[in-house]
Amino acid sequence: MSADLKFHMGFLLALGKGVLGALHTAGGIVTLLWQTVFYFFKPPYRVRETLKQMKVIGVDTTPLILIVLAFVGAVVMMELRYQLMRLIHTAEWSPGFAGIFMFREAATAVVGAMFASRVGAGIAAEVGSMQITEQVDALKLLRTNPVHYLVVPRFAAGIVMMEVLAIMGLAISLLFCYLFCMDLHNFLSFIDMVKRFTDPGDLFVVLKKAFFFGMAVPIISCYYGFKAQGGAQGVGMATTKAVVYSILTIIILDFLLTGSAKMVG
Amino acid sequence: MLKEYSTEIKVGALVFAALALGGVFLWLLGDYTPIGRTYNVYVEYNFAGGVELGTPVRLSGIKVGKVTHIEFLPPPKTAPSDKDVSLKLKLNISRTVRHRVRADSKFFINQAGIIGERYIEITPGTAPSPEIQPFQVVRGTDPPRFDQMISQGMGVFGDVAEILEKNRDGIQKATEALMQAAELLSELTSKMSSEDINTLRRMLRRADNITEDLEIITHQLRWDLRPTLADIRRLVREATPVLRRANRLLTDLEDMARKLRDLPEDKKKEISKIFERMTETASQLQDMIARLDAFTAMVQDQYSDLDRIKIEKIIRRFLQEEGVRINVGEVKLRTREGFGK
Repeated sequence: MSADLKFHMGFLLALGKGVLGALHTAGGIVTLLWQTVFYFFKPPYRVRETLKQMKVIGVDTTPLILIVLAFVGAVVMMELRYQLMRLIHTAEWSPGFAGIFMFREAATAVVGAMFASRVGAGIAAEVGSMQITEQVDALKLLRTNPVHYLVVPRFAAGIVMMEVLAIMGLAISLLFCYLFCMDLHNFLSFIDMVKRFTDPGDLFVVLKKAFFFGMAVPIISCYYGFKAQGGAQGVGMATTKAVVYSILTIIILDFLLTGSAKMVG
Repeated sequence: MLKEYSTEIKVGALVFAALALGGVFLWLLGDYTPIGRTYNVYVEYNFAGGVELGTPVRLSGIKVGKVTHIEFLPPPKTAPSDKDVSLKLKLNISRTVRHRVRADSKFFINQAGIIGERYIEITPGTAPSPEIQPFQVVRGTDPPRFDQMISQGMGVFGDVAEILEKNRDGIQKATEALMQAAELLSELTSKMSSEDINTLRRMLRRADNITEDLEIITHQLRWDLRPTLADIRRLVREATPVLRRANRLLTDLEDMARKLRDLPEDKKKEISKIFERMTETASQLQDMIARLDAFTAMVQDQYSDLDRIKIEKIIRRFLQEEGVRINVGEVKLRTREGFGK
């Protein structure tokens, strides 16, 4: 076989492997999702475990979300003021545009990315450690479904806490938007300007996106956790993959949900 | 206990805070309140000019509500008119301004600035008018249709352009002629001496004065002739029906002449004889009337002390001269008061 032919064959081989691998992963994640939803409605309902996960996923993540979204709100307001002054010589409408951005993207995509990086890494590391130390196999021996025991509480906690964190992030980002335009607007005029550009439908968009993001991150993280092999290195790789692919999934879901929410055209 | 249930407390507090914030957002964005502090009014328009759901409603420039629903009404069954309505807007208005929204309030659709948003402006009503009740339907004032005005304007411009296009040659020739005249004038004045130019100036000044005088004279003339012109106009007005009757008479005569043309010769001769006799009689009557007129004038002038018997004698003699036979006896007269007995 000539060198060129080997090169082209190698390229096709890598491409095929990549595609098949992606499809295999996607299939595995969807299968895990299906199983989770199935076991979600099946007793026993591990309420205490779910609450514990809510504390880890939600309460412990809140300070990070508040800090990040505060800075996002401040930066967005500063940028908007600058750009609006440059283009139309007035920054009067900056609260309106900032409000739209916070509702549509910052409260969901930015919070989702932070959620994925903190929560996804934690879940993948925890489940991955349990996998490599054969605790998952021990659960199977005890006739306890690992998905029911490990994934369902994290899945439920992820959905609830992602909604909570989205609302908290939205509130803190708007607050900091207001703080950085206090010279232009008082609180009531700020709210009035935000109201002109947004409506209650935007709040439901936030909740809808948060729901899907809160579903995706625990499932993907648990999937890679279950796939961890080969000790600490395997756990590290699983954690990395969980974070990367969680964030990628959030971006793609954001695109799909934004397009479906009557925002285009 | 706190330590034992710290997880539950923390999670519960976070979820409660998020729910509270969610409620605040709903209240701020959607004006949702548990207590009904607003009321709804329906306003009908034929053209809404860009109003959408959520468009603010202002009273005297202050925001008091918003548009919450837009409904398209079914098409009218009769021919379109200015009173047609095709839209029904539901306005949600704060109850605090209900006393200013009255039956004589107007509902305009305005625009905030050149590129501003649309809003509905309510003009405050007056005290004698009753308040508009909740769910009452009122007719709003449609905003001007700039698109129609522009379209009609474009039509006019198109017509003007067409006229100019059709008369382009004529306009061009007129322009060329004007330019030639200007050139000739310029050439003429350049060849004239300063004395000639001064003479020309004096002539133009005199012509200007003459036109001013003529203007005064014609104004005076028009003023003096006003009564005469008014009389002429009155005469024309009075003559118009007479002329119309004369026209009808001529038309009838024409018809009659046409019919007469178709008659046989002997009939024509017979009718001709009748006309001759009629003409003769008319001229005799005319003479008699003239003589009677002269006679009455003479009597009036010369005989101021006439009594009844004298008048009878005079009339009998006149009639005998005319060949009119009269019976013996009294001739009954009707006289005016003060003119003999």
